[in-house]
Amino acid sequence: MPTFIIRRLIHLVPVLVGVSLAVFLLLKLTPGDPATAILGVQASPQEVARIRRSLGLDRPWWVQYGIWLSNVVRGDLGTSYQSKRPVSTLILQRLPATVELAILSLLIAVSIGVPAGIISATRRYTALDYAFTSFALFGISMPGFWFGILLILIFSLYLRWLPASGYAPLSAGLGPHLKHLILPSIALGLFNTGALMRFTRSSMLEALSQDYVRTARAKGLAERIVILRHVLKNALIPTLTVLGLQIGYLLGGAVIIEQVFAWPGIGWLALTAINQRDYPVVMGVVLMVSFVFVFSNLLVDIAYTWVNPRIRFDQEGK
Amino acid sequence: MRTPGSFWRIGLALVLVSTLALVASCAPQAAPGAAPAAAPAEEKATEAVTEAEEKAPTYGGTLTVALHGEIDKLDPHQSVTIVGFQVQQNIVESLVTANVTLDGVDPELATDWTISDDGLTYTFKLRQGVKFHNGKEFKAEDVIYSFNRIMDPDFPAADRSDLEMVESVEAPDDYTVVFKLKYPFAAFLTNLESLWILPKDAGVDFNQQLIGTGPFKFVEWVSGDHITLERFDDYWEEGKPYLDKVVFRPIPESATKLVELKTGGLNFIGNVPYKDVAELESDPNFKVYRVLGVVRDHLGFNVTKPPFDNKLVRQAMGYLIDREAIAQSVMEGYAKPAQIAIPESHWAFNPAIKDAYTFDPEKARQLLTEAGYPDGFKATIKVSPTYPLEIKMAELIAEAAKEVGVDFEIQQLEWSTWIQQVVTEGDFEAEIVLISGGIDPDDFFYQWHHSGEIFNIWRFSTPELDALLEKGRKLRDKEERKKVYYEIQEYLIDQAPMVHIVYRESIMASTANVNGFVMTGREDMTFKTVWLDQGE
Repeated sequence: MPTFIIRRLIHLVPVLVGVSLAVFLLLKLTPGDPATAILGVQASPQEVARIRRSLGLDRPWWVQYGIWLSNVVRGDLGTSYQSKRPVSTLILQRLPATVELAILSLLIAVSIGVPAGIISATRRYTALDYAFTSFALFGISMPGFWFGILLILIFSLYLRWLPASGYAPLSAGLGPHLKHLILPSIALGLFNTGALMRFTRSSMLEALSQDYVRTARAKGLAERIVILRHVLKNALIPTLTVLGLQIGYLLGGAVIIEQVFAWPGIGWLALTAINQRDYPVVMGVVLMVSFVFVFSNLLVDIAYTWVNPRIRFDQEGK
Repeated sequence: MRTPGSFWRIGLALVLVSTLALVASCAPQAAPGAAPAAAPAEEKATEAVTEAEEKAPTYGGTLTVALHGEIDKLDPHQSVTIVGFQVQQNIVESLVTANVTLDGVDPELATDWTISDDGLTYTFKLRQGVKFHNGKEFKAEDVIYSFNRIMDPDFPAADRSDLEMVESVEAPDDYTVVFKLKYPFAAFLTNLESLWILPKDAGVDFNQQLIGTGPFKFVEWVSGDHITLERFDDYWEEGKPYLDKVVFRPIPESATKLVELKTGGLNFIGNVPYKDVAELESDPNFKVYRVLGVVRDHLGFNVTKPPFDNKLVRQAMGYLIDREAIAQSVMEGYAKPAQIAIPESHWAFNPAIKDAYTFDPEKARQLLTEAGYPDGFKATIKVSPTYPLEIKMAELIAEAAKEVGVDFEIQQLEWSTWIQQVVTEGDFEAEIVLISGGIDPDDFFYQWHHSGEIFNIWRFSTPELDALLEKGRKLRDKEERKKVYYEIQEYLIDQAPMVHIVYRESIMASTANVNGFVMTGREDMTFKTVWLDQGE
């Protein structure tokens, strides 16, 4: 296992370099000039040229990328073109809000999606199954931002139970902190809840049709035990994979949800930075998000061995 | 002079509003049966002022204000976004400030000034006993420092072009500043408006800690969450400000912003979506501020390329725009037909051009035939989804143009791309966009139409127009200037490098307990005069 983890961590490096290079090239290909975004449109060509020079934008792209990469290796993510604040500070200021949002929406998705999937699979073609399946379809089809606005209208405007937007730090008290967190987490978690439910249901159904289930039932095990010990454990592997991939969705979906709820996370930071052609911030956020994504998928892989001991990564390829 | 800055400021500010947010807030809506009565702009503003005088203002409280995006930079000499401006104008001050009707300036850090007969020397008397937030007394050295900072070619200042005509800035004593100009420049005073005065030797980075002489002190900026300002107790204007705190919160989604206003999370919002104005106006829990200001939309042409190199074709387009219909449908009544950049209420507006272009497809057809396009032509109008209303205007215009055989393709470009293609590269045939700002008549014309100016988007330049524009900015007598600008307006109506569509209303709203806000026709958010009803 340790060798596996180390090997996977080493794999992380080319992935991060590849992702950052791709994003860097995309930024270069996007029309619109950071110097103009900094100075305003009325700046003279000389001023624009000077800013471009001072930011190193006049050099070939591979030199620019090389400089950025070598700085990153030394732990320096650069300074925002716009706010002139260190990118690392900006990310550290805003990452916790996104992580909290992602974790809570994942918890919502798991605690609703997985049990609903199990119930649906074991009570196939009942009213309950139809109800859950319809809900899952709704969750997958409903655009998150639109659902977010609906939540705001219902719970903030009409019921006045929860605040419509913003973030309350823990220092403001646990109550306000959680109250602000609920609506965006639900809006962000909706898609994942639906997706998880459908995956759990279908992999449960597949597991239910396996021979070992028939054997388990034949030897007279209680249905509860059959489901929980034999079916669920096997069915959880595809579900776990989906969960790992969903972390990517959560971080991406956060871009829109954070806008709707004025949530001070990194998704919104990235969007603002893209619009302002603030390259260092975009690159920093992308690097951070890819790292979280790859790392959380590593955790998922490790979790496989726990769910199913037959999977041993150390013997991989032997 | 805010014009060029604002163009970008508004642009950038709107860029921050997500496309989705705009879809949600600007989804096609049926035009209201009866247009809301065009609110007399000045009346509203005066109303606010009188009200503040009637009830005795009370002190204290926090005003929570929505910004429609995150600000770009704190340093006001570098900031180029409208949201940055809205925050900074509460912290820092200039020698002069734009007046409420936006056609001249009032004293701020300068108490009065004299202009030499040749128009080359401006002498300002500075206000005494003014303190900066760091305790330093405001003196002439701070003015010199601030202007040198803006004029320093190695400093990325946003408004340097406003000071191109300055030869030198000197301080004969602590409370006098003398500007020597390279050439007479009638709009110089208005140019000084919003060129902010920062303290010399403050020893801080103004991007991290902004210090000014304004009514509120900068406390903190938590990225993506809020910017807090606090009352400056040593503010020079007796008794002001009234509020203890102003908190700005960036909220890009307008539906969210509105719910926050209704549920008490916010006291003040700008850019109220048209569909919500009537509801807020009829609800006694809210106040709506509306002014027909200096924001205007136009259809512009690249005059260097056919078919728009032909004046007759451009004029024909002027007759294809049903301005009244656009004002009522696309703008839901919160706009007025426009013929020229300068608002009708401005002293330099030429009443003779008031109805220059009407909706007259027959006339358009005649002009096109005369121009050699009896069967019309194909052309592209470039717009940006950052300005979704312009897309609808383009659709209405394209529909009308079909009648005379003109086939317009509407091409949508992301905002920065639009800027690059249309403004920088001139790679377009026609475009629709909004422009904001302007105080002096020079602001409305010179930078948009003089040869070689970056904002001469339409690449229209003639020696006659250049001569008129140069004359207009050098003359000092108001009546003489008026004549020149009348002529410029007639010339532009005839040449039609762009034809105007509508003037828009600026609309802001607050909860009913907010008093004393003074609304201008641009996006100002100054809270020096604002106070809250107590018992909150």
